[in-house]
Amino acid sequence: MTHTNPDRARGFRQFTIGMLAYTVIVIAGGFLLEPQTLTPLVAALIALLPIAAALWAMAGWLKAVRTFDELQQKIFSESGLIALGLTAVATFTYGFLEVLMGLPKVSMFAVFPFIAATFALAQPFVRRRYA
Amino acid sequence: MKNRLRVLRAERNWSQADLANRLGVSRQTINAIETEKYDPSLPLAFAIGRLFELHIEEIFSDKPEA
Repeated sequence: MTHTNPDRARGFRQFTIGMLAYTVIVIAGGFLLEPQTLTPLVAALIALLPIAAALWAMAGWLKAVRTFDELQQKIFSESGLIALGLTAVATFTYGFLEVLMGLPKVSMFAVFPFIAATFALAQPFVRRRYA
Repeated sequence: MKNRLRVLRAERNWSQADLANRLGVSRQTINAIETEKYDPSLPLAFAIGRLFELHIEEIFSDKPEA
């Protein structure tokens, strides 16, 4: 496995550009547009606009990961499953506590960074199993 | 799964990185196979067999050592 695999570089570039585009669209949509001046349909369309960039970024991520060898893909998959599991447990738990204890509402925007953080944290532990 | 990868590699004076490059996988993958922490897929096992000019059963064994 080389670190100069052109497909991998292209995939990661697509992911980076897609996430930057997503961020720019979200921020621009939030700051530049006033929902109360728009019809519900237009407001919904604008709200959904970042999804195209996010899906494109995700496709880039998958392209890059598919260039990894089988063990690296396994490590990524296991880390991803751990991240999803921890996120599910955390969101369920917080949801219950929010209702029962009146904890403040947490934005849905917090979910993705949580997944990304747990994915990054899980990787060294999964990697160590095969070291 | 038991395997003779480390022995076969040593016979040819290849490092783990050399073998990884020849097989198009990471050095970590070679290490994980040699330490029997990871069993390779069939395509990779066949590639290893081809590289060493041996049958898969001559390299890998699922029988416990006597």
